[in-house]
Amino acid sequence: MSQNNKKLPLSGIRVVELGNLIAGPFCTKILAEFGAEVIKIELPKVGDPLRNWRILHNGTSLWWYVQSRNKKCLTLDVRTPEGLEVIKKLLKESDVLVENFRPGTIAKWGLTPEVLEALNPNLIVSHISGYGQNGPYSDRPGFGSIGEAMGGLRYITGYPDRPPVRVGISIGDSVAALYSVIGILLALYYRDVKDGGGQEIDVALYEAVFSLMEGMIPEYDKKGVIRERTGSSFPGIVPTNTYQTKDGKYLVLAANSDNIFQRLLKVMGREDLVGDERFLTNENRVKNQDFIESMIEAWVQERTLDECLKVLNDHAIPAGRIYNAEDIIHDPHYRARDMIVEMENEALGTVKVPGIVPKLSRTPGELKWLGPKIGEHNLEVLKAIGLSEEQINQMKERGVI
Amino acid sequence: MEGGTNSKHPNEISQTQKAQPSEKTAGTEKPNAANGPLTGLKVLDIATVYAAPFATALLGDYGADVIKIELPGKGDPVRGFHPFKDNESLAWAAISRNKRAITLNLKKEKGQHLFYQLLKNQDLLFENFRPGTLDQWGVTVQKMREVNPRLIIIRVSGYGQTGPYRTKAGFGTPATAFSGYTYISGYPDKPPLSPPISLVDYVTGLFAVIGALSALYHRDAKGGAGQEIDVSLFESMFRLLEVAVATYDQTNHITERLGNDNTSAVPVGTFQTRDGKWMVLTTSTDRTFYRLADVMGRSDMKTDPRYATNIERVKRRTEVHAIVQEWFKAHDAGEIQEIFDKNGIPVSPIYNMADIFQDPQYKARGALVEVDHPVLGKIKLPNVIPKFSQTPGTVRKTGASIGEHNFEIFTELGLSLEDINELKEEGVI
Repeated sequence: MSQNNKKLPLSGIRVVELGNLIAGPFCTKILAEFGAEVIKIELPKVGDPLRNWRILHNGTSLWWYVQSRNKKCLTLDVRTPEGLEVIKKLLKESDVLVENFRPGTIAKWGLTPEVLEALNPNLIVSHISGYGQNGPYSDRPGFGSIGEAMGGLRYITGYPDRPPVRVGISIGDSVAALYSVIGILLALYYRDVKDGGGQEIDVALYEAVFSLMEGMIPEYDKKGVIRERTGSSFPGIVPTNTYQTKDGKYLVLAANSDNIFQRLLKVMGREDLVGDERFLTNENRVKNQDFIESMIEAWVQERTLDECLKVLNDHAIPAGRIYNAEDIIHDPHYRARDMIVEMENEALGTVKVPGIVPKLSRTPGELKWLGPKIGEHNLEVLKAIGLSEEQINQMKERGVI
Repeated sequence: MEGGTNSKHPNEISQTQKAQPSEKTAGTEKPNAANGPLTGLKVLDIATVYAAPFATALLGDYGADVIKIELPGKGDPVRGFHPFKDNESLAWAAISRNKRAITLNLKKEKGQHLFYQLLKNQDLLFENFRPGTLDQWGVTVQKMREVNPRLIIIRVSGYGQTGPYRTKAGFGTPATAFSGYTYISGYPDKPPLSPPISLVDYVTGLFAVIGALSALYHRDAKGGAGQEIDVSLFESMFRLLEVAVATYDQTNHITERLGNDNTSAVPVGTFQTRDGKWMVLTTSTDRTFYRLADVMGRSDMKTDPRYATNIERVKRRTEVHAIVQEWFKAHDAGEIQEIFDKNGIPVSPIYNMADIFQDPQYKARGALVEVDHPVLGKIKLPNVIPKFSQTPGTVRKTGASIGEHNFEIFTELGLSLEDINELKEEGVI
């Protein structure tokens, strides 16, 4: 897999990760895919709790292997005076620090903004937290689902007659991580292209979710509208929904642009309605949503999923089947785009993992290895910052690493 | 390194036009220009609807000068998106903030000519036509490169620029279903649930920005060349589903939808309080769970092997959640929030927009920003995130009216008022 001569946009950038679980680690993983050297710091013996999440293989979660790919793993108890000295040494020679502890935690350990600034004025520090570094809730513990609830996403997810539902993945953490990556790239650009120096980036999970809430803010601000749960249909964008087919499968359909809807009418054999005022614009379709939905439902019910997809695709009407993991791994398009990559791993043998997003023509990312063992890179990293083997062994005995 | 100096349009080069997209000069001539990290960066947005326009809006937040090109007479479909107030689409006001808007028909020769002229001076181009469409009009990457070798081109599509599905209509909802995301969302006894927002467009927008900034850094900090970035809707969403892939590959286990019971840690979920409110609770680590156990008066669970570790609690999900639900039912939301905050246990009420507008944390963080709108007066939008200590971004204006900046930008290109009127009559702009 490894092609060391490949150009990577972030090669030479060293990132230290002081984080657990999803938001911080997902952020640094993307940086690592584009060439940054990421050093992940874990508590000796304990490690990142993600190592034990969801489905395990010989005691380590499969998630761990993907979340920690391309990273170097160092164990270090930053809360000990000795550990603090080591991380300071490391940060002196680093470009970026990513941390996702509760605000104030790393300062309590001795890594205050002043200390970090004095240590390395070019250091970029990205703080990821549930509620941000200030404000009345900042010292509350903030996890992804909390950010999703407070950011407004949970309230509108699900059905009107049921409690709000969690979406299938840790979306709050993932989106916060992407914002952190963006913040770091912006700060690197400012530092290295505009000679601007280092700075701090403050990413709050709830704000990351909140930024996705579309027109909902001006909608409430200007019209007093509170958006509610509407299942799979899109309020105000018609038709967009999920329909059940004759063979009991599900079809998603998004025929919500004016031209596409006219094509859909023809496909459904409703030439009589083509050009009808009631369906020409989205505004009018919203008014006639019930009629449109039942017309589509009736048409879909009489056909198998494959029949629906064939005719809809032929007429360039956006529609699709709902893929699960099995469908994905066998799909030719995923394969053709290198979105499923096979890697070798000591513990797992050959394992398939997702490829890299996005694709850059000159400097594509690279997958070097999957999640390392706890402390796998202790020797390498600590030696590189000038510690002797003797010092390293002593620290190990004292439980610092 | 010199961008746009080998142009082949000598007759059209005006004196006001700089041939070099120089971010180093950090020009801030415009009165309302920002001081963000991207000040001086020039971005052309020939995309529509959400993913790419969301990406360029983010760059605009951080100071880039974004010019949005729309089809004369029609404009971006978002201008027709619900809801409206005083005939103004509120969605457009939000997504097009900080951008200057011009009209230009890229299918016409004169339109293309102006496009290339404009392109000379740009750093980034965002497009989201169905793969092959621009080529069909004769607007190829090669031609764009001839005009501006340093250009970074971000191509957003439903299924990517390659592969058997590349020409399929790429809309958010089907692409989300293709990514595997829809299948695992919702309740087991109901159809899979599509997200209630254009989630895939937003996530794709974020990946597009990451690609653009990586390429920009490579070009400007490392002396690299311009390049193309291929971002697809389905892959951006799929990128967030990595656990499902490795899991299926290694165990043949297909992740199913489980309503609120699909979490990796237990107890995590939605619980109803005595006063009928819905709250979410998360205990991702054993230590957090121990604090919860203490608060619930169930300190015994900390040492009971059936509950002491997450692995065991996941096996007893229903049982553990019932214990938690019973405790929530006996307490009011406000009370729970206070006790849990004091004890470091993550909990939150599930907010709607009215809650958000009243919340003190939103207020203290300035998460909502009020911007002037020519028709609506003032309008509230989400503020810039993330927050920078040195180079914060700004929201300077809301979505422009169609062709609002035609005159300003085409005169910058050296066109006279007469030329501009003529182009308008011909339907080029």
